[in-house]
Amino acid sequence: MTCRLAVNLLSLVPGDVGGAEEYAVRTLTAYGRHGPSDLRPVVYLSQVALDAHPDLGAAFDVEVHPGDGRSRPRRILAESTWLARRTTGMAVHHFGGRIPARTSRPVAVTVHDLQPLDEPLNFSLIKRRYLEWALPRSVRRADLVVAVSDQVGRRIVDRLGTDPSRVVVVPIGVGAVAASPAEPSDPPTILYPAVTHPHKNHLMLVEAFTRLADHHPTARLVLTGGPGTAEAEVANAVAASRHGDRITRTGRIPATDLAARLATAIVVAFPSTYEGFGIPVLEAMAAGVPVLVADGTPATDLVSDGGVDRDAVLAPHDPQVWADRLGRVLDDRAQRTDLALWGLTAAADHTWEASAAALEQTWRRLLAGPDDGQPAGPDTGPRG
Amino acid sequence: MSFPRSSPIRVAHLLEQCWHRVPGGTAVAAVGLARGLHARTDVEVTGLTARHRTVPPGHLDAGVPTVASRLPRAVLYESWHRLHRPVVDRLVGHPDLVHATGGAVPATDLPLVATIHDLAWRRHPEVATLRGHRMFEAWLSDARRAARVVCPSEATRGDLLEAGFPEHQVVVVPLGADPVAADPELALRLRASHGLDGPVVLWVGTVEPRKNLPVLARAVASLDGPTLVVVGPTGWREDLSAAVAPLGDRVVVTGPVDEAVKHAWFDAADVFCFPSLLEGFGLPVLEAMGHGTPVVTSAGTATEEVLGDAGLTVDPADVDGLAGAVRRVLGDSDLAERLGAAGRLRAATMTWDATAEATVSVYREVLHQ
Repeated sequence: MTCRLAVNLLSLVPGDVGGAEEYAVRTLTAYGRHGPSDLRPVVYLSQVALDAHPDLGAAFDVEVHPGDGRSRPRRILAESTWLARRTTGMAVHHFGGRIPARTSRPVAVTVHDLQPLDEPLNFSLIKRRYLEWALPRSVRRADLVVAVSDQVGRRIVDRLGTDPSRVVVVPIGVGAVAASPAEPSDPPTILYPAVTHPHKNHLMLVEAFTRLADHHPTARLVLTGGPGTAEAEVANAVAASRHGDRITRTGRIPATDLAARLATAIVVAFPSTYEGFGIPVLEAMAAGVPVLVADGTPATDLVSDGGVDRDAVLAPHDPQVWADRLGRVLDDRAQRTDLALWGLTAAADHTWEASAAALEQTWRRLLAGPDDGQPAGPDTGPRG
Repeated sequence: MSFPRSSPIRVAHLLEQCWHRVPGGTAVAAVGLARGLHARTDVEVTGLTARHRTVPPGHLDAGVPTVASRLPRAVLYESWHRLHRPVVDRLVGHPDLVHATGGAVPATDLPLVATIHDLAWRRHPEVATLRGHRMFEAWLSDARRAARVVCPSEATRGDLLEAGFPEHQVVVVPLGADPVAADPELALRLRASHGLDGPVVLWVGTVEPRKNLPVLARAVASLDGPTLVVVGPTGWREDLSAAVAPLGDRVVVTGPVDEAVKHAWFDAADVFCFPSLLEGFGLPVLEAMGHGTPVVTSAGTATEEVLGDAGLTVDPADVDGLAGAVRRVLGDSDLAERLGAAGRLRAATMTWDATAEATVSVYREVLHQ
């Protein structure tokens, strides 16, 4: 008997969706490796996505949509036509944060964050209008809502009034953690890997670094990550800084280069004010590099778990707080060691096995159908 | 004797010592205890280790179900000490208690028992590296959290009290040795293959400064005839070839050997000589006794307790005294016979089963059973 479960990855446009792409590819790859062989979904994705992630083709049966997924309207149309036709009678898990107008049921949707609702200014007007409408509607229609972190799960319940029993968390994992705290290279380099979107808070960090650099004549700041909507402002701020010559803006760099920069950084500063999960934070922790994060994101849970305050969670908009804390981390090896060990031990808790197990549980629940006998919500799509 | 119970005591043992580069007696002791407990019905042992790609050698396989952290040893040891995390309770299945069986002390919110074998680095600062000092001190301070600190001898107990541990916290539980049948044929082959037709003075252990090998070599060199056989891996900072130089060709250095060969050397030897500056227990002494090999060892440290009246004790700093004791045993076959028989008798009571029995009493005390 063929598997009655479909995974919709048509929203996966290589290089375009950042953390969401990494999350989807990594959790599914982990499932391919650690998940049970008797529960294997069929994965629906575009040819370009399959080309970019051949592992998915090796781990799952795939059906390939000929389009490249770059045209959002065409993709949305394909989900309600091409995909809906092929998945009739199947349970479907939509990984892209949104349930198409027509879908087979039962249905699950993965939600990365509520950014269109929480931080609408990061989106163009048309995209925002669409997401403001589509996101709550998708969550309402879903039999199961899959959150990428506990914090996102809590926000879905708080913000959209979703019944907590319909919300499940499928967290991300990390591979091997480093064997020891990383050895920083000289000169001491502060790293921030993030696309230059406004909510990533680069301007604050540039200001904090400028104040820090007055007292630390060798310190450097490196900003990796592709250009976002605040790229010009960030460039202006770097140019205006009296220590701009010690700030490097690399743009997007290959994963191996980023790993190398990570391994030699003295600290990762992660002042982003909005994250679904914060994969780079987890990666820095697994690499044995101290991380400082802004209060109020899921990364806060990662860095401060255990309830002990190690002064690694900072007020997001106060450059003096960041300058002072970064200065102490640069000066004090023992503090760096403690932060790095803290990160290594926390990262070790995030296993791919746990990710795969959470995904398996989600799918088994989905296939078993609604367990409370109540419909999840009105649906305009065809029933399977 | 133990009482039948409806639910066994569940204990997690740190077994990471078995992967140390030179595992030494602390690993043997941890494995012996775990095996002794595993044989009982009133205790369930789960082993805990750091992440590893390899398994330890067979004689250091405790034979208990073992879980591994995802973290490497260096990170675990450092963060247990500095941050009191990661707490191991969930990883090891929330047992009734956690036993740090000699070395690092895992972070736990459960009742804790910690074994400390010796405080040699405090008595003889020169016998450990600076890094060793830091590590041992860290473990000692973490052991203060334990409900009970177990040590293998009165000697170590005295050092612990001196270090400020309250009397009620410290319990002496001697180590054991499993009886090993003699293999006279292998013993003869060993002698023959090394051309040993005269008397053999044996030393077994991990080669390191506190084992006092230079004094042993000088003592044997001063005697006419016997050959010194040195069996065991090199620990650190001991130039063995310089130490044994006075012996000329009257020395055999085997390096690390497997367990069967080690035991056959006890059968092949005429006297076992173990003049350590300090021991927490001195397992090789007990092993020699089990083979009925007469023992000459140090007075004023734990080996004296282990030996009882089954051998001769001397001041380990006194080359002439040591040489004299070895000469006495080699020159008096009645004495050698008597000491060997006494050793065998005493060793038969000092087994890992006895260690396990006494350890279970400690667990019950901690759990108020």
